[in-house]
Amino acid sequence: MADQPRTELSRDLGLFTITMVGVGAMIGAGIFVLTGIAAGTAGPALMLAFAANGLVTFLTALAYAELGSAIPEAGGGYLWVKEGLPGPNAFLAGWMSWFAHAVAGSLYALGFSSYLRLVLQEFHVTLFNLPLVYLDKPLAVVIALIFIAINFKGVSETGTAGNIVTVAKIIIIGLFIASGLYAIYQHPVYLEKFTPLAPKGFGGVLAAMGLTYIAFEGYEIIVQAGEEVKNPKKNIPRAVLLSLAIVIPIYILVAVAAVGAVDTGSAMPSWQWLGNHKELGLAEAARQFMPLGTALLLIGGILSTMSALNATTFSSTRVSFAMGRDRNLPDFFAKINPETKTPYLALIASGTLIILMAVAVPIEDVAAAADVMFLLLFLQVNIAIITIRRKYGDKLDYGFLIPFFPFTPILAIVLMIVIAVFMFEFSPLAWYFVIGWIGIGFVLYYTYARKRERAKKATPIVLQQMISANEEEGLYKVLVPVSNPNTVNTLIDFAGMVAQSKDGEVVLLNVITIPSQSPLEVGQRYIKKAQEEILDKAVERLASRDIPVRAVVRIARKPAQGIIDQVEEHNVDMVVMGWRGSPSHPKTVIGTNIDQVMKDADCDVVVLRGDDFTDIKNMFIPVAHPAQAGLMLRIGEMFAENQSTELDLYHFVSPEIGQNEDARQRRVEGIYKGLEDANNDTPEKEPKGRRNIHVESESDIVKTIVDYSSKYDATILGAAREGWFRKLVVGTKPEQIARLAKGKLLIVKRRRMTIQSGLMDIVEFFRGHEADFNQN
Amino acid sequence: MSMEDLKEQGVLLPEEEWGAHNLKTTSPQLADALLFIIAIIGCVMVYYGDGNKWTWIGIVIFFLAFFSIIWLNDRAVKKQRERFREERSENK
Repeated sequence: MADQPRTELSRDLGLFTITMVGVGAMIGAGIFVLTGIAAGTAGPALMLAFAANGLVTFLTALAYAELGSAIPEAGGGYLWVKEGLPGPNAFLAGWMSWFAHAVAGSLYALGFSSYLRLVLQEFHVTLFNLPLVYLDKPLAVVIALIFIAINFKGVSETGTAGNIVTVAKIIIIGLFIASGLYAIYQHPVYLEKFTPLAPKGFGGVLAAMGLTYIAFEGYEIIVQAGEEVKNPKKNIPRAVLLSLAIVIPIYILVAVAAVGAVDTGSAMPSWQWLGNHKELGLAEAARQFMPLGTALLLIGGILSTMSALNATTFSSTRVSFAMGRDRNLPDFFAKINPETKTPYLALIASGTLIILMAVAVPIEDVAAAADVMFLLLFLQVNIAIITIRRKYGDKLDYGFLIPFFPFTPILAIVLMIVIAVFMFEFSPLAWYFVIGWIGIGFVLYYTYARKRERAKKATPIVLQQMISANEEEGLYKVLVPVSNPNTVNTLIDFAGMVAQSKDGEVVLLNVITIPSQSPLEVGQRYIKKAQEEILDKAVERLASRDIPVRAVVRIARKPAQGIIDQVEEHNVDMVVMGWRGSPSHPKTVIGTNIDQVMKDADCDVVVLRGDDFTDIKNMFIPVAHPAQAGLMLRIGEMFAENQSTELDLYHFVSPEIGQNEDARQRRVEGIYKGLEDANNDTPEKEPKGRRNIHVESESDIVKTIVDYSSKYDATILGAAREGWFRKLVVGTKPEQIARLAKGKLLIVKRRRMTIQSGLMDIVEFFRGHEADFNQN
Repeated sequence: MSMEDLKEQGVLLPEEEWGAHNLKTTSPQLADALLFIIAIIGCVMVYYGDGNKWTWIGIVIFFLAFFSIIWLNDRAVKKQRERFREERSENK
């Protein structure tokens, strides 16, 4: 971030405009397109479905009001999930949000073309005797292109056009409501149409809630424009609340007017009549009781779908812009046109998606999927608000604070899960779409976005020298951080031995650490010193060995971060670190940096305690866990090959297991299986056959291992689990042993599997460790 | 995204203000809770009123409760800004 100028949007949206952006996004498909369909699903209880959706939405809207005021950045929900949730969550939130808004845009473009077709039919326009329905798709493309052009012109034009459209359609809807209510007032008998209220039971109400949920997400667009809002601390939360105060009563009253004022002229209930007319139900209803009803409703429908299309084009562009800026999508998504100050390439990409979906995909099913995606996105946001408060709580400037925190977001989560699960009952296809889209997102994240995200976060390399290394890919790489002159020779000798044994190379890394108070650029001043003081000596030490060497200098806030970045960027296979023998901080297991590298580095880690490992005659290897056994033996074998070291493998069991022959045998076989990994990992070497393991039963294993360690030149210990998990699950045995063991010590930790690594990251994240690490 | 990124974006408070601001909502929670429950009761009345008198009473109750809760929270936004300014001036 620091090395790139940050692209910013201009702040020129006031309270009225930004409220209208939200209202415009909501009063679109919800009323004009979905009212007829939803009435056919819920019956007269459609008004209840709108009211209940209003309450569910209100809870999430409070989260949006708080976060939108505290972090008013383009991207909204996507950005907060990025702040508040670990791993692929942020990417998926953006990915789903982008798709959901674009699909909503496609739906509105198609809704527009349906209404326009009806206008053409009213005027008896013909198309070479072909059905006018053939015009639907081309008209949808044309209107999408027009709004792409309007959005390209800039936010002021967008806001002005949006305001006019939104106000106009509120007036038309107001006339519809007034006419409908007047008709009911004139014919009190019409009130009987509301009985039975829910002919399809509460299930019908829930189905209508799920179906119309997309009509309530417009407030999300308010916060997506966060970077463009004047006085965002005040205006964003107010606009979120005001837009709901305008929209929800309108929805309810439209439902009342539509169901109550329609005269079907037969025994057919009005709600069924509306359902049969589907997306044009409202326009057909207006024909009956509203002066100039059809014409006005058609105008209203066209304006609504236009303003909703405008808002969703705006929001899908902002989400993809934010994702491009965060390197989750290609960089061109973040490019801003210097004249119009709009993210034009993100707009073109989003517009293309809108048009493609409108033209090529059966939009009704994908629109239902958009409902589920919005539910999942809002669910993530409600989790994120809890973690963001915990991580950054008192460091943010809030314009609004949610009442009953954290119970309000928890209640929202529960209610949204209920609706989302019910949506599966209602439309399994929608869930299949969601799962498919999320699946593609996962693949994209792990194959593309994750690497770019890491590269963006990585600490800068300021010097890289190929001393005797070549650019050959696939070499086994042993990384040695060489900051401490007291341990550097020991580490280099060991790394040299490993690299020679694996025909690999040694990477010498010096991390220049700069405190958070100073910019990283300050580190540039120390490059020469870092190179001369330690790196050159280290290179000299390795000169006698015939192995490739690479020297790297990085600048970082913490040494561990520099090491982890180097491991990730250059596919390092093993890190070798030194330990002075006591933890640097009461909360650490071995040391702050070593703990962090062991936890986060995606490679084998070996920690050495002791001065000289060049003359090890015998070595004690107490194998406890099969997972580490292979690496422990592999290290031991290297010593055996290079220094003719005698290896003694032990496995200690408790007296209970020792007395149970079956349990004892199972444990030993598990260890042997782990040890076989040592042979499998080095297929080029000749198999060594099974080494004998001494199995002994001891009541005090820690004391026994400590006692044994004093009889040997060196001991290899396996770090069975990482960090807190180790403390929590297997107690503190390994660390006790590490502290008490006599003589030279090697602590080894094997590379984690990717899934295990991901799970650990998530668990650690929610414990707040990642935040702590980043803060330091 | 880290603390440093948020700092660069100008989203974080200056360090001397960390922990200096109250994180309790300025919205009256008891009133919020009561109004939310009343709005739910309104919905229940709509459903069980089955299109008769209690349905319409339920809708009116829902509207009143809903507008009130929006009004309270909108007022809380203004109060929050005032409180923030006061806390900031006290710290100086």
